[in-house]
Amino acid sequence: MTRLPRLAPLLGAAAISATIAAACTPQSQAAPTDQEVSSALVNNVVLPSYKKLVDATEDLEHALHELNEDPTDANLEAARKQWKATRKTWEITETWAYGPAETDDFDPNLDDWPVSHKELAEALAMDSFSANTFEKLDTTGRGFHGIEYVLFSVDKASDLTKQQLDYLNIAVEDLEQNAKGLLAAWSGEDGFGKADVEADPAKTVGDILEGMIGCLDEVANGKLGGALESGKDELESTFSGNTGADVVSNISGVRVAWQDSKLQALVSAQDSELAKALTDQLNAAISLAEALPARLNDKLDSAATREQIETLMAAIIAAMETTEAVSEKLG
Amino acid sequence: MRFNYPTKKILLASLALIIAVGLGLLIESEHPVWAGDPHRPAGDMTVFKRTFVAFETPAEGLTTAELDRHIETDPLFEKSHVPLDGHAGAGLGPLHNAKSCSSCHVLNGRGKPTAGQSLFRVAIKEGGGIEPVADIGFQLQDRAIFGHSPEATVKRTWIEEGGLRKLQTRITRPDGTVLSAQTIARSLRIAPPMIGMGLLEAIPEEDLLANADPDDQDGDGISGRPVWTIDSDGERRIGRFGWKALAASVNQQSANAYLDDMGLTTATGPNSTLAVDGRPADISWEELDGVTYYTQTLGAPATAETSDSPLMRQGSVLFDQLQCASCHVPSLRTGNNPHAVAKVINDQTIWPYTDLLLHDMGPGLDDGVAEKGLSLSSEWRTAPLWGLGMAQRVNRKASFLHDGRARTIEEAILWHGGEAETAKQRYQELSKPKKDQLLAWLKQL
Repeated sequence: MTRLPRLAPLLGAAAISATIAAACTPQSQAAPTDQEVSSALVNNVVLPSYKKLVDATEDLEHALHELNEDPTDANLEAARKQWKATRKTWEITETWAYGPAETDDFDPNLDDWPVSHKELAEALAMDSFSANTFEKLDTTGRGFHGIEYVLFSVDKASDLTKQQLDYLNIAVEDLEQNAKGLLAAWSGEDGFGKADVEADPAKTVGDILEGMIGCLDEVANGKLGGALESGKDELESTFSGNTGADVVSNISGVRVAWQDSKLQALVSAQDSELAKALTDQLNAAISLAEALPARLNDKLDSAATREQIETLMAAIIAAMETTEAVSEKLG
Repeated sequence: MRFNYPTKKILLASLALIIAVGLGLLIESEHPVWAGDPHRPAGDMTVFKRTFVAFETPAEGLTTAELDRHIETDPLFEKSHVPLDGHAGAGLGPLHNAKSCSSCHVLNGRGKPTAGQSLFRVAIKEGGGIEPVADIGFQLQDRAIFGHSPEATVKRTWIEEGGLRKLQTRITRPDGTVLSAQTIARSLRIAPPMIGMGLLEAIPEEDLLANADPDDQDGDGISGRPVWTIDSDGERRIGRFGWKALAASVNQQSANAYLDDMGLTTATGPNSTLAVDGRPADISWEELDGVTYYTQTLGAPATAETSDSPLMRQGSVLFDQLQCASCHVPSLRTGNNPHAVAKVINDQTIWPYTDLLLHDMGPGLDDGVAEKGLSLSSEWRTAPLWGLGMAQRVNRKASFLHDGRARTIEEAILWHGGEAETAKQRYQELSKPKKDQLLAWLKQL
């Protein structure tokens, strides 16, 4: 009992130090709530991403308009470059392409694959190509890949026919309308963002994780795995040789959803090791994807490239499995 | 001898106990609807997810090899088909309703009653709706590949009536003529959900027949009857799939859908590359078998409530008391098939809430389109109710009944008639709290 008075200042100092230490370390920051995560997803991730997509489709429209006005090789190159830039703003949204993108047909309208070569060839062989002609094409003759197919199908700008130029301008207008429709579907009081996502935060956390898993699964097993089996004609974005860039954007989008929605912080507060493992695996997969050769479809016969793809697939699947573990943990 | 007080107490208590046990046994034997594990509707194949991917998640209980095959065959369901070079009609179409399975079975769930996610069956009204429409047949293909015209285009208008809605259609042929609504029956069909199909396929025929009572011999007003049809292997079997139970197996349903809905022919067998018409098949046997396998190895989601929850028990009792369970039979068992594509399909107790039989649903749901020798226009297969509460989670604008007219589960109940008229009236007579309880139970399926 007599020892206590001497210990008291020491204990007090220890308590104060611990409190200060705790206040200054990252673990002590209050973990985000489900509500904060769903709000961050909508307002920091999804809406800004779709605004960028809309802006980028407008840029592509300008580039294709320029090409139509003045079909030079420089303008062709600029349009191709813009297609790739606009493509990036779409591919990064793959993780949150649930909701309206899926159920209201914006995804197939923007990004159906494969391209229906036969129908497109027939349509472009008509005497003229009009909005009416375009209406008769299915989504496999429209969207990003319809534009890609035509834009990257010629050696030089002077090879582009009037029908092809008209097609490009009509198709990009349709692309822009769908991008705007998708943004509108998520916006406002009655939009998917407020009325669905923010209205049910617990569901949102589960949905983001499902979106991440779905995207990683599709990239690994669908895009890459399927292509290894079928051969080069099956690689999405094969005409522009953009498959590798698509993959980088897809996985980057997974990382954006993970971090910018504060989901990483939420999980970290519960299990910092698991959260770090996922972050590291996503970073590793992105690095491997960035190292993929350009024009991947032309290199599928190379054993070295196939091995590189298989290594990337394994890295993506590892990240997918960790995301499933996170999902399990959160219940 | 007078009873002393303690003995009297013991006697009364014993009497109360006997009565209680007796009542309990009586209730148990008459209403066993909550016995077992309805929380796991697909038995060991139950998927413990109630997110938007619940219907797309592979079933639990698959072996590593079975799961690998499921993942491998998954892309077949989402594949967008296109017309191909070769003979006329090679590949997609030329006439069709959709170009991929998942266009209509959105995320493996219901389609919306909109163009691209649904289709129309048609028939000549006169004579009971069993005759095909000239130049169209029984299914209206409203899409065509470039350079071809669809059979017709359809304008859909929903008319509100007393809190419910009915569909009005204007069907216009390419030459501008309109199909008369007086003479030509049309029935909108949304895509049903894809869950638990392998399990439904595995219910022994004798168990389905045990629930059938075509002449209502027991006098309960319910007269479910099986649809007997010829399966794709030539065997006579009970139809189980589709709104009218026309397909006996998942293989048959898939082949029919490929042909009727997408204009894609399928190979006639494992050793053939030709379709029934003698031309190269658009879909190889391997691909048809793959899509079939993928479908058979999907599960069904766990209910939101656990089996011992008060809502599970109360809802189940209400469901039974209203006579809903007479057609939406809560629980069945799968058989033991040594050739089952996945071992876990065998010997499962499942909770699909259907007898898979045809029932007359009354004039309100009679669209005038029948199937000659198989079903009347007012008859419908009892729709499975597992996953019901997930329908709008998976596809937020999905709706209910064959044409999606019912925007809510309650609207669907109110459309019940014919054999289900009693059940509907009992529902309407319930107090508001009891109605809410039943709806809450249905929504957690």
